[in-house]
Amino acid sequence: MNSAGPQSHLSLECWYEILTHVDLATFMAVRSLSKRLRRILSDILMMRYTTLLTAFLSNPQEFCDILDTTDAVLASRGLRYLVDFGIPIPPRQIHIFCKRRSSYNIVHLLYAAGYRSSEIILRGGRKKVITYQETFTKGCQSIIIESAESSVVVFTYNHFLRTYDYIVASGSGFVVAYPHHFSSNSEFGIPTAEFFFHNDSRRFGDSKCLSVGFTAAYANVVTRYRSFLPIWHENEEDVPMIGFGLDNKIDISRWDEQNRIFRSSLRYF
Amino acid sequence: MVTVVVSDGVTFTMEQDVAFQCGLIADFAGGGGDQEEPIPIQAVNSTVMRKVIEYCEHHRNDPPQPEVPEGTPLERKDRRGRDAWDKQFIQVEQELLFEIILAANYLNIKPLLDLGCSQVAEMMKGKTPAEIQQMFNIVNGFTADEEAQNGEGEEKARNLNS
Repeated sequence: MNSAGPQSHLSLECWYEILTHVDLATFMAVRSLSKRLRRILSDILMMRYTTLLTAFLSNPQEFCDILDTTDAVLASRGLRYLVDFGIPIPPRQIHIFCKRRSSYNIVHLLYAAGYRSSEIILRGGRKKVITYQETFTKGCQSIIIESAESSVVVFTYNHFLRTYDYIVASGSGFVVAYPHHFSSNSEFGIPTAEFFFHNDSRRFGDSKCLSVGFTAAYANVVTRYRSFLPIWHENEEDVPMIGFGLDNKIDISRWDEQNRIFRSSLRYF
Repeated sequence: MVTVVVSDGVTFTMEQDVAFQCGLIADFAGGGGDQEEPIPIQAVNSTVMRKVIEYCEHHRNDPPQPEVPEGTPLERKDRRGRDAWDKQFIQVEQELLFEIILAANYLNIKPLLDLGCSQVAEMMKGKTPAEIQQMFNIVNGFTADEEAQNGEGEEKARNLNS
């Protein structure tokens, strides 16, 4: 066994199986113990998101209707902030923002769901592609994938005479957005970024999700979003447990408060 | 009947419906009739093989479980659930538990692998990072800077456990 890994004689393959069973508190504990175990946890998390995305792609409109009624986005664990500059997105188009690495997986899922690529746009420098946009269509439904090499991506949109810049930090996962979520939500007026948990769960296909809210503040624009994160564990007493990835850069200064709210959410479940 | 010989030279003979719960043995035997030669199982010793056979005999009449795709939430993935017998069966010393997990993985007995892994997850529940580290003898491999960052994560875990 490699010295950087678990020293019990369990193989990493077995650890993978074990870690699919752990609850949130154990998840948080294990991720600080070993680099290799942390990578496994990331893989497990991405696998859950893939399941969720598959459900989304099988019926995006129904999925969006649910997200719409709950003012939600489907977000990855790495989501830092999603900044709204009033970007116009044509109706019937759904955008999925992700890192380049994740886009391969999403393209594969899109093809499996019957979507076909209709347009590819590359933007960036002469040698290195900075951003990549590919449009997929199925009937009258369009899904646009935007990805980049960097985790902090600046997209520029031209709409009539105005140019819009906005930032999406998508970490290792993806963000699904559609027109409704690009309308201004600044009436919330919350001055600083915060993270909150909401007592709400939904079932999307085979995935059950917990909604998690966050606010984003950037350039004096504050936007509040709710995202859905996959739940993957229910114990034998049928008390659902949840698991999700926390980006420890988003909430570390306010952990006590978030933790309190979060634990009250746990009790709800 | 199917005969296997394990790492310490002990042979076990079992009926096909018991033996074929092990994917490895089923593949080795090709789904055909009785095996003339013992099937070598070099990665499993006799102590663990006895436990594996005990498990397979108990579940020999279980209906076949449907294939569950990768990424399926555990609530659906846990095909068989843990009945009282399973709970009792898996209450073993940690070392033997690990051996059972490794054997289930090697022999490709998914329900037993799930059972063993969920038992380990249960043992980890409510433990601090330090306790888990000690329990499983995990060497982290983090640098000093990474360790400092991890302190914040450990604090979170402690809060969640409290």
